[in-house]
Amino acid sequence: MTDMMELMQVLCALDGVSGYEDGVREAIEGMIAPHVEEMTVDAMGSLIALKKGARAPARRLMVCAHTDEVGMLVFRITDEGLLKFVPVGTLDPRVLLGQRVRIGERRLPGVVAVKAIHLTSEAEKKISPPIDALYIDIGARSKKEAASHVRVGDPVMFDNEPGAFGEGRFRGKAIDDRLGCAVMVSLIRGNIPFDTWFAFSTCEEVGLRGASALTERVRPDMTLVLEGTSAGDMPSVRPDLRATRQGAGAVVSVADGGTVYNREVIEKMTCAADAAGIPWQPRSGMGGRTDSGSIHVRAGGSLTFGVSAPTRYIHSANNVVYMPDAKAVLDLTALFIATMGE
Amino acid sequence: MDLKRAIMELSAIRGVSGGEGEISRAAAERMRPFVDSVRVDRFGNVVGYMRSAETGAPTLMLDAHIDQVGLMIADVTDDGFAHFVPIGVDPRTLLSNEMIVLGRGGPIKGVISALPPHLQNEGDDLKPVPVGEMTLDLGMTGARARELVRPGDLVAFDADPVELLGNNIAGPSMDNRAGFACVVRALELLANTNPPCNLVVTATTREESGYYGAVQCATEERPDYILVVDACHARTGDAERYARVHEPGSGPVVGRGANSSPRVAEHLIDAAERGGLPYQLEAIPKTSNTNAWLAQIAGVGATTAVISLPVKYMHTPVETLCVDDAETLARLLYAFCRDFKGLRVRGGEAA
Repeated sequence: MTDMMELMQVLCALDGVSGYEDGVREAIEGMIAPHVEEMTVDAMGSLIALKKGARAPARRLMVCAHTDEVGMLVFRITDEGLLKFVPVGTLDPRVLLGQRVRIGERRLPGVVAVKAIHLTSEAEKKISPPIDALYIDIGARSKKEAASHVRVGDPVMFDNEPGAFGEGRFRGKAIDDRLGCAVMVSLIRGNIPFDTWFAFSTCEEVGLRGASALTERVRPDMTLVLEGTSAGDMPSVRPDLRATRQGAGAVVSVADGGTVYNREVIEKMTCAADAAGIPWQPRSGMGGRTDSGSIHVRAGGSLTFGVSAPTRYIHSANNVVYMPDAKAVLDLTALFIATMGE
Repeated sequence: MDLKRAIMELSAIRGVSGGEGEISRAAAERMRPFVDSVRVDRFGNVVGYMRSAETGAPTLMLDAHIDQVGLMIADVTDDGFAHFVPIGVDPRTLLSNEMIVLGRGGPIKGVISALPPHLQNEGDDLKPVPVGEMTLDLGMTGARARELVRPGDLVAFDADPVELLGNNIAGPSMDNRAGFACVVRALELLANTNPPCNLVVTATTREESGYYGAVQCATEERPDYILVVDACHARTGDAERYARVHEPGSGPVVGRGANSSPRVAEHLIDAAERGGLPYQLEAIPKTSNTNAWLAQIAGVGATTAVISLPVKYMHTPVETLCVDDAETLARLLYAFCRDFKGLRVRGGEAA
């Protein structure tokens, strides 16, 4: 578990807004290079690695997690030197206001702002400021000054130091889906029973796109997709929106906005989890989707199995995961390779 | 002293209204080298004295509040979350933000819960969430949370100040740690002068919850004059130009009106113009929304004036300020105090 925590500390501090995942991928390449048989970076920037196991599996196995994270892109520089931005992935404007951010490769600091609440009329207060009302202030006083530091299309990331939180928890940006990446790195560094393809995909947050291409390249028979998924176990959340809860183990996907998962695979894996004493919970609700949406309709229909850690406040600067749940995700992934390789 | 560094260091110290212990101690230490004596009263107000050698010199209270906005814990739930009430914060900047509970056993980190987009319905993201429906995630069991966090505990933004372009800095509590830092810088400049007025320098508590600290100080000290140093709103592109919005980077703002003596303002303006310092004016028809409002009528009453620093995004974790304005304010406070002998009242006598 210390290993997972250390990996997440490193991985969640990296920046990888969709389309700008190179830094994350390069860091992961460095972590896994000594432990894999072969490694490819495809045209989409996804990293595909073959890890040799003790034996050849009965079917071609793949495990997939995405390297990209939600964020923003600089869209326009105003005459006053403020940056207007567009979201990359789904972002609620209410979690952006008041955030510190970093812009571009040089990580220029900025703050997401809107005029002070004291200057906001009662009528304006009835609606929360939409994304297009917000801007990033970098301290520049003119368009010219801002333009000498920032270009349109520069990625904008949450400026957030990850770390341990509460009792047994971990907090940071991009736990969706650096947690999945950490599980894969952890398995790659150890010993596994069957040869397995590990895919670190790109551009999941903008349409499950990296996984589309890499699935055709790997052509797996069966794929496990790892995620940090919405936890809805906060007070005052409607029961039908509760989705998953922390402390109840690894989340097994049944159906979501991109996939109706294979019942036989779910049955086989959850029985194996019960036998192995790995805690798991089904994901209720149909909201959201994962790389499985792309994968299960490619490679002649790669059967997919979805495993995630229930994560609070995903798509914000502060995601929170419960490490025993992350451990269950790691254990269930190892069990998937052992079970499905036979 | 390096003013920018002083502001950033002071801004990082937690001290929500009613819980100013740490910032009080820090303020006293900052003030001590430059004044004759310092005391900290039962309110946590820090009061420094710099006496004039002139006989019959008037007394000027130079005031800056040192408390900050935040939250107060109202209740801790069975599953380790806390309900809270706001103390002055902009509630729009709370969701998903990192906070720090100033509990009895030390600081405890928390994150304000936010429903992810995947669990929302279309249009929900434009609905303001009432503070009463928000919760603070403490990441622990209810039993453990209740040991560490209790109703009445104060909560501050857990954000470090950051340097931006153009000599700007952003962080929590620029309002009013920056104002206080300017006062200390002015004291440093005054240290080897003999000002014509007795200075009572106050770093006051509980401004954000009702000006209580300043009322206490003004009542106790009975100064003739009170100059309040605080933050005002800096203009941003989306804020309409109106009386209470000022240009960032164009100098400190001198108030004129019922709560900020036009005659003291004249002295501030003179000091600025003689020193070649940029300044701006603010019309204050009624309250200045600063300590001056209640300090003016505390005790037997005092002549009050207000000077302020333009700050963007007030009461958020990213209050933004141009350090140029702070440098100017410090020099203006110095120039004013160096020469201020009091006002001439009708009949020609010094008040």
